[in-house]
Amino acid sequence: MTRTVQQVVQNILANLPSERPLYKEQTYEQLKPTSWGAIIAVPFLKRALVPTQETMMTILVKHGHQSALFGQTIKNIARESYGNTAFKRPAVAFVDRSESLQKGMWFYEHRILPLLLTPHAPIAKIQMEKYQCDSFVGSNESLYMYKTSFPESVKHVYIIDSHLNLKLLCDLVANNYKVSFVLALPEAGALGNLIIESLTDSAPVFTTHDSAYLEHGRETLVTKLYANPTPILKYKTNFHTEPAPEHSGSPCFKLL
Amino acid sequence: MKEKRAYTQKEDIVQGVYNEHLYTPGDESTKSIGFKTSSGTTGRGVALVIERSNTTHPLYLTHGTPRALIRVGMQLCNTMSNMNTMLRIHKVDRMLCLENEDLRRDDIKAIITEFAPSDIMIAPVGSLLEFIDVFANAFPPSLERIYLGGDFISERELAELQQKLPAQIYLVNDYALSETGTLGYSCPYVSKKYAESNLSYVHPLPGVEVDTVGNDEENPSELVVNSPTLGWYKTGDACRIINHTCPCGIQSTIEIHGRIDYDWVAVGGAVFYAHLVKEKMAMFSEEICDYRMYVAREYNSRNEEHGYMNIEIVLAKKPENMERLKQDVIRALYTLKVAPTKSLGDVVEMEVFNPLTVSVVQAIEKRGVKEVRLQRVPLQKIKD
Repeated sequence: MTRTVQQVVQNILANLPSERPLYKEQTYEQLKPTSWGAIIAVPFLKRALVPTQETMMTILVKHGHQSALFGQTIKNIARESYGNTAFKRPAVAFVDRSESLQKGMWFYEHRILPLLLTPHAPIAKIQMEKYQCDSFVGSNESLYMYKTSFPESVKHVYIIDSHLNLKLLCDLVANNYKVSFVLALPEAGALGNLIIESLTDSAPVFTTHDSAYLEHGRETLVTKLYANPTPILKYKTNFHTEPAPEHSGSPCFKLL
Repeated sequence: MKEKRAYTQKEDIVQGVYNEHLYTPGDESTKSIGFKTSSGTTGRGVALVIERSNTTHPLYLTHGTPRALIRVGMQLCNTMSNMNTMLRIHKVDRMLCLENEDLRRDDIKAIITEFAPSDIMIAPVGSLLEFIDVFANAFPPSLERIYLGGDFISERELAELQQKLPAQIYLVNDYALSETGTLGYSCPYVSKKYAESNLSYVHPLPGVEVDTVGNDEENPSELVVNSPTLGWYKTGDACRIINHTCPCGIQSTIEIHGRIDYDWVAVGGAVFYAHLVKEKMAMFSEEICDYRMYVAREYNSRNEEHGYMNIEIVLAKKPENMERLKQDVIRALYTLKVAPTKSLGDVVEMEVFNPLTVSVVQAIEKRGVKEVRLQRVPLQKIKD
């Protein structure tokens, strides 16, 4: 762990109010891993810890039958990295409304007007044709819903998801789409961008997003290096990862 | 005499992206524009309009800036635009957007209570009824206002809904079009005055200029609105503008009679044409003197559109066998062509639609200038 990570986390912890049900410790080393269960056990407004002058976009994150609210600022949403995002007219469609809006807000901050698609594929097709969308941004599931509706203008497909669907990605590549995949969780944001050349390797390789600090293992821990209203510190994920050699100077990991 | 105006209408804004010149990728001004879109299933095409967010006045602000706002349902594009405006320009403390289906989650009561909303914007009325069911007698104590959008709702229906809510929660009717946003809102003084009315009465939203094309203060005609991005736009709603000073201080009220007409309605890939329904129903002219067919939709768990239908009939005379008459009506309408190779019976068999139901009513309430025979309604009304 670099000194910068230690300092950033220490700053986040130092800014928390004195009453803090989730993170009682003062340094990164002292922090205990947190889990989804530990977070949702604390009421949202107690969990929304970091005082901020900014307004808070709140998203509803669903894990099966359970759901929980997470607060994010627009500035922090904009800090997420979705790789080579050279689009001007993106169509955005996630199965979950919160995620669509979260990604839509990312585009606004990057001065791009997003077209958020209706869940009705034939109408979405008309919308995409009218806007001459150059790219599609969605999840594995939404891609299945909309891919037959893509107009010819769509050249680049960005998938942001917590699951890598190799068949889907290979199909897109075979159909001449430029493809990007970002490993992400709605509550924790982007963790890494897939190096597309590693797609056929036994374990695909990702470049680690610079706002995420990962402790690799069977349940990789993620720390987001910015102060969101709901901080993500040593958050336990279901990802089994291990470090991989650097790629173009960026730290990398393998998804096992 | 009124000046001559060049009206914009739905047909003008479905050709391409309306006001596309407002968007320059990478330009800072992009942060203050947004899409408005219509669903495209009312028979008039899909509209995609770019508007300047900072020139529109969100309804919520008529009662002061909300502290914590929840928005349930409505077109995603419009919600995005609204969320951007509320967070960036109007600096609402926190905002959460939910899907209509979220109201059926087991934990939704706890989630909404935890968020502690001051204001909720919800559409359509079926979702408000679900919301009321979820909270029963234990509404979040923080909640002050509910804004109801979606389909036309009469003052009588609004008063009935208000009765289902605790006194401290004020229900506001949000009169809006997908492509323009909010045009008007209900006022407690006007609602009280017209509490028994089957029409709807709203004040124009501050900054919204309205008029009617008919130049007639006595009879309803099509409402037009002067929108910063659409110009004078024909709304497709039959209205009358009443000039008077309300105790709240506003000097005009829009009396809304409803949609002027639906010539066709599209749901789940099936298209219902009013003239074809009329042809089928003509064979029952001796037994049935009036009718109205409702077509509604919702999205199922696979995000597929699913249709529901009901036909209300008014009997001309008492039939010999009521059940047989209903079955005959269903059989006749199942032969209705709703797609190039499909009949209504086919799409019912494919489970795109629930089976057609027939209900007998005493009279069909007429809304709008023309006779409305096809009407899209919220799901809840069909369930009733």
